[in-house]
Formats: sequence, C-alpha cells, structure tokens
Amino acid sequence: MNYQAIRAVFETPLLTAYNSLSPAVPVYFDNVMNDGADSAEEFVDINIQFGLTTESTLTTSLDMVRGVIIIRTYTPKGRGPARNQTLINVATSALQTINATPKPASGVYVRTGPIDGPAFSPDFGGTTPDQQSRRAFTPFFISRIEAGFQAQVIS
Amino acid sequence: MARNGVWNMLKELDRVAATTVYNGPKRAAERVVRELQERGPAWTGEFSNSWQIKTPTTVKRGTGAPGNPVPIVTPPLTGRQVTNSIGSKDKVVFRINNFSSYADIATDMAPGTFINPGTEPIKPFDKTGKRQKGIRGLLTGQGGNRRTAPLDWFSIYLKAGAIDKAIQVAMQTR
Repeated sequence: MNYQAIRAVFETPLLTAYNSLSPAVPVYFDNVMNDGADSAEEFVDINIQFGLTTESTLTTSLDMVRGVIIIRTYTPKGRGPARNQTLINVATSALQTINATPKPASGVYVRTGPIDGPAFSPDFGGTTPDQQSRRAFTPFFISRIEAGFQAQVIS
Repeated sequence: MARNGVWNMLKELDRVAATTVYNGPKRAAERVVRELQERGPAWTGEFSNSWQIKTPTTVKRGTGAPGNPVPIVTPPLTGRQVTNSIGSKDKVVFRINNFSSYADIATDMAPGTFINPGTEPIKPFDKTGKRQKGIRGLLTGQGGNRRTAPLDWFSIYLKAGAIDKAIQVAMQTR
C-alpha cells in the first residue's frame, strides 16, 4: 500500500491550484508547521486521513483504502464571504477534477464521495446564542469542506 | 408436538422480525455512540455523556454530566411491539446527535475558545502543541495546548469507513 502516492493524488493538484492564484495562497498539509499563519491574511489547511485499509467485503483487492479529506480556508473576518468562497471553490473544483479523472492503467485511482459544505464559521447569526461565550475570537473567517474517498493502488 | 412446533416458530418469527426491523439498527446505533465516546475528546466527560439516540419510539439521552462515558442503551422491542409501533412506516430511522452546546467545537467544525478547567482530562492526551486559529484539534509545533482526540476525529469516523464497519458488525450480531 502506498499511502504517499494516494496523498499526492490530492495534494499535488490542490497545491498547484492555490499556487497559481495571484497572489499565491499558502497551503499547509498534515505535519507541516504553519509558522506563517499569525501574519498571513489568508491560507489553506488540508487534512488527509485514512480509515480502512482493507475492505475485502467489497472487493478481493486489498489495495483499497478509504479515507477523508478536509479542507479549511482562512480569510480575514469582517470583509464579507466573497474571498473565502473564491478560495474554497478552488478546492471544490480540484476535487471534482480528481473525481472525473479516468481510471489509469497503473498508479492510484481515486473516487471521492459527496463534498460536504462549505460550512462557514464563526457564526454569530444568533442561532446558537448559548455558545457565544465559547466562540473563538480569531481574526479569521473560516470555511470548511470535506469528502470521503476511496483509493485503489493499481500495479 | 405440533402445537409446540408452531408456537416455537411464531416466537422465532417474532424474534426475527424484531431483529431485522428494529433490534439490528438499535444495536448499531448503540455501538456507534460507544465508538464516538471512545474516539471523541473527553476532558470532563460532559461531551462524551451528551450523545443521544432517537429511535422511532423513544429518545434515550446521555446524562450530560461529567465523568467517564456511560454507554447509551435503548430498550429492545418484540416483533409485536415493532408491528404496532412502526409497522406502518416505510422506513425506520435512528437518529444520533450530541446535545452539548459546544458540539461543533468538539467535532472541529467551528473554532472555539479554550480554558484550562483546572482538572486533568479523564482521557489521555493525544497530542500537545500550539493551537491554531481556535480549532480544537489543530495543534502544531511546541506549546502547552493539549487535545484528547485527533483533529477531525468525527469526520474521519463518519467518512473513512469506521461507522460502516460498526454498523456491519452490529447488524450481523444476533
């Protein structure tokens, strides 16, 4: 099983997409120090986690991994949602492109499930007033999407 | 003998009907809550004890109190009870949710503010570091912030296959 190759299927197009924006938006992956976040006005966090590595009930192949990808985009708070939606849309488009990629003869074949979100926070809309005291007073407006995926390593 | 045979068959049918329609999903829901309690964060235990299962006939709530997580058990039904209460419905829905006021923060869906409650957590630390942007599980580098469950533990459980496995195992158990 090649977890790194599976990660690359997601990370490479997402990194390319955010780097090609003008100005480029920093992207932080798992186990990468987000050392610029305190000064950066906008950035992206991507969390890729694996769940089941074998699923013999669905297929005889043991090279079948299930996991989840969670993408958060951070933009300045108090300036409306437009910029944040633009950034999260980059991720949504990248995931849809990955999902539409035909099955290769060799390498990694990935299909995602439904993309949940984007959900925006902090939400001070008053729907949950009892939570106000626990709300974070960060300077960021955050959106979040997530999608389960199934990856197959074809050799 | 024949009468006993018919009686036993009716009892078995009753058990099978209840198991198929109700008790299988009931076991699955209870198992899912147990696993959510095990996987989720637990400092005082309030969040872990704030899960609830809404069955087609009743709602079973956790205590919402601090302390070690207590599993939620919903009452079993017989086949006749199943027929009477939910026999006319075209689907049987079990709903699991957490009624804690900070559930979205605990599940890493929203940022929050965090204070040290002055007590040690009831669950071992998963990681220490510096919390980023108020996201509970997002710890990087060196720092004194602590978490008792990995980042996005809830999404991982729901989307990466674990919940499917839990339901599969529970439904196959007699």
